[in-house]
Amino acid sequence: MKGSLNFTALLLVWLLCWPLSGSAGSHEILIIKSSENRIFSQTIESLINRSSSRSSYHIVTLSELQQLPVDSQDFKIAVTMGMAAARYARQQYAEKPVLHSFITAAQYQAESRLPGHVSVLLDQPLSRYLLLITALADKPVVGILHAAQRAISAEQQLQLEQKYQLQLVQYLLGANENPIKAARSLLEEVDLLLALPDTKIYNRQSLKGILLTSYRQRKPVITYSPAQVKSGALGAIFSTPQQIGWQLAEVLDQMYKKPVSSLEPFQYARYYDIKINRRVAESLELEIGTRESLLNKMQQIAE
Amino acid sequence: MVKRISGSFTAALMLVELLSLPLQADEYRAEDDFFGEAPVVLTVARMSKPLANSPVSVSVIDRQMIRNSGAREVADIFRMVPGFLVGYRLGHTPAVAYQGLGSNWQRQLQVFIDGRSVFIPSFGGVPWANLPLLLQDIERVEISRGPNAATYGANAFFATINIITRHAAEDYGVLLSLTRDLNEDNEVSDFYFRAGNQQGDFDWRLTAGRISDDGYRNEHDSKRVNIINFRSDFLTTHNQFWSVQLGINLSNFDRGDGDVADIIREEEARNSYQNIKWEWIEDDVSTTTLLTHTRQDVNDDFVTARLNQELDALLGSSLFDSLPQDITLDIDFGRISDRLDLEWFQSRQLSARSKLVYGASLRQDEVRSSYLFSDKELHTVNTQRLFGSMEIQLDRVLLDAGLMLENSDLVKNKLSGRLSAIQSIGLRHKLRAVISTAHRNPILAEIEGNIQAVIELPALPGLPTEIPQIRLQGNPALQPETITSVEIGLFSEFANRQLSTDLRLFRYHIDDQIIELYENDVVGGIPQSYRLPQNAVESTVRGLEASFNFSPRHKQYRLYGGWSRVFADVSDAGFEDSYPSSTAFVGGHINFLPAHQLSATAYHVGAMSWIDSSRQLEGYDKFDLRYQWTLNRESETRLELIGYNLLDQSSEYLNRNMQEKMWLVRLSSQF
Repeated sequence: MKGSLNFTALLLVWLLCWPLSGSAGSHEILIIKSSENRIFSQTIESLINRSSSRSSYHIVTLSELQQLPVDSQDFKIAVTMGMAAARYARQQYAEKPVLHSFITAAQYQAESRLPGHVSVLLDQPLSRYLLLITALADKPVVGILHAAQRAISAEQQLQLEQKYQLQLVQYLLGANENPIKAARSLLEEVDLLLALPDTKIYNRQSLKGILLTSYRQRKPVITYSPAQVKSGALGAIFSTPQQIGWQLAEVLDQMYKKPVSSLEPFQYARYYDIKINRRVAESLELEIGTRESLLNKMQQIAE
Repeated sequence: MVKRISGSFTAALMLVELLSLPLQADEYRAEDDFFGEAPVVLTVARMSKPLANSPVSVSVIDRQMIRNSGAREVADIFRMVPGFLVGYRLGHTPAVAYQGLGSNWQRQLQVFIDGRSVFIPSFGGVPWANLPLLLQDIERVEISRGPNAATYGANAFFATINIITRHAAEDYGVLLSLTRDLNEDNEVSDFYFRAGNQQGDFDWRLTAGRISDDGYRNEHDSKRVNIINFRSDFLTTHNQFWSVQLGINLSNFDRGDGDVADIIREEEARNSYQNIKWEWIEDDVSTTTLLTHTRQDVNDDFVTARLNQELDALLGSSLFDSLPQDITLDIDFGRISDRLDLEWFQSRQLSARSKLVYGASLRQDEVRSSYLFSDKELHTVNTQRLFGSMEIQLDRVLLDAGLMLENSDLVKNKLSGRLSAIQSIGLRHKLRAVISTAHRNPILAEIEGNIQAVIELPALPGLPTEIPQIRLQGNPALQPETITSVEIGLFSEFANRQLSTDLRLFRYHIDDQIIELYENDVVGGIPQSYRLPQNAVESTVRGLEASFNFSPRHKQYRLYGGWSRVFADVSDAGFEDSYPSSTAFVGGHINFLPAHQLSATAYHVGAMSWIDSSRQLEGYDKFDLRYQWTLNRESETRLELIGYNLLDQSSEYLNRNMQEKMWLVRLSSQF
């Protein structure tokens, strides 16, 4: 049943785009993918299914667009997926309404703001991570390892600690500091490590050391990435490609209805899911409820 | 334009993207970071089972306990396990035993380092001083107390020790540590060096170390142990992992008591290993293949001093002492043991409440020892194993059953089993009932051994030209020892899991226990008395063990300890005396001021004797103290002062060899 629905949705995408294939004619929405991948395809499928308008879509990869550019007059709104596509749109379509997706808060902050450009960030708001942690543990001491420029202010830290009944310990990583060593030091003071997106800290090279170190110290890691849950983090809170598609559809609808300048320049992920590594939970002797019960608990705490 | 691409093309594309990741480290793609494939770091093999859910009693020695103990050698850390006995027959000959039957070559203990069995097929037992292993490389040690042959095979009889070393990704950078004693003669001189780094998905660590001391005061037993280990961990795809380990231990031990037949000399030993492990994780299935090779090469051959007087005493004559010609004997204790082991096993999560582990292994042991077999032949034993275990979580009961079928050239088709049930009582307690059986297979020397010395005489009228001296004869009819064990255990946790306790009440019975009994014969016209291994002892042992670990979250201090009480009823008095009625230890540390730590460990062992020592020990107490000052937190530069045997002098193996008070200083730093 699920398979036939997926097929129908793909057929719909294809039909909507069919008149545009191979042509550079006028379309309402230009979707630029940084590369060809399954995640973007799932997001686009979800976006089109969710969108209330019957817009026409022109879906291209960045490399295709670089070979066969589309004039800014040939679409109303552009949607970018990934940082490479975002950079291209910022250069080529600076004056057009553009909705950026699949970028992190750090990437967003690193770029100058363009009027008419709106971003849906991959990051969850910090409060949502803490919501999950509160649902998992009672009054924990939470360690956050991040770059100095991303430090949480003392005022905000106090607010969060009071609201979620926990204690935050920040470790500000120096420019040349080894993240594994820093994590080891931080983990000695905290009950769990909250990994926030920052490629200088959490990357393919450092992940092994950080996860092993945390496990040796019997401290779980809560992360932003479902892939890292497979690696050995205890849990992640994240938006699925489908949920990102929903949010993009909603923002697109707003961009149609309202002046883009009236919209917030960026917004965090709106819909989310959680993933738990049961084997890690078992090994760390943590009794964790089902995904549904955790989501319900988060809902209750939030209310 | 919408591109339609096939699944295989997508997979290929993803693979290309994946492989190109390390080359594009600066081109961060959030979509890959969030949704791509990250390497599986905590695999089933790397994660330990919670102690509360273990089907056998498990003690854990972690890095902090090792550091707190101030231990220099691997064998010493087992003093921190309830019921374990550690003794140094000579300064370079540590022995480790559990509950009883302790000897220099304890054959009822199985020991693994990262899954590699280090049991020596020639003499049996574990060459603790020769292991290519440095204490600093150990991450943790898990000790299963009680038979566990269903998981580990023969010789996992009394207990099984699993030594787990650190993953290469945990030790980047360089570490140097130097240890010296504070005596004038400066007899202890240890060093440890470690370097580690990563190149993309390839992590590596190289360690080198030296352990050197002069041993007991009145013995010729100095040791100089040099160890080099290399480990690399790498992955070929996000779910396929490889671990390659190589190592060598080059030891020089002073031997001999100066007797004519045990002259002062030096033994050289070379222990090496090569390991390759492949793990493949696919959803709920984890597959591991392990290929290992270990080799022990001992060189200890010498010519005795003049034996003429001894020959006269043996033959009741006065002829030989008057001869100007020296009658001597060539003795060659040298031996080479090779073990090649291939093991494959799969762990399969059948459902949220059930798990299955099954596998097979092939092993080939080869021994060449002219001393043990009186020949130059290669003696070979092939062993095949099939094993499996299943775990099912019922409402509040965890059931676990395991079976191992083992067949070898020496012992045919032996089955070992284990059945356990763990009942949760409230949130704090787990009550455990375990029934298990195991075998201790005879070693090659016990079946094919032929230890004899042939003294060649000068041609004299009316006398033979040689005199055979038989010491041991193998017994081809020998059967494995069999143990049947029943235990009830209670694992409890208190204070939000900061305090855990474990109680174990056990009873086991051993049938067909092997003992070397003296046989008399006349060979070459000379009466001979030699040892013949026989299945001639039965034992029934009951006991109680208790342990606790209080580890507060703030980590300012920690306290742990264990105690055992054993009642042994053995048909051989010597074997019965090898069980001390009680053992105990308590240890811990406390941090004070910002960078100072004090740790101490005290041990008690009741009266006992090692079975290769004729005299009974009165029992002893031992107290070690350690002070640590962290000079620099960033580089983890530490200065340690360690005091051993701070109570009265005591003997822990041979009465003549006393453990003496000693102070060491150790300086270590990372950069």
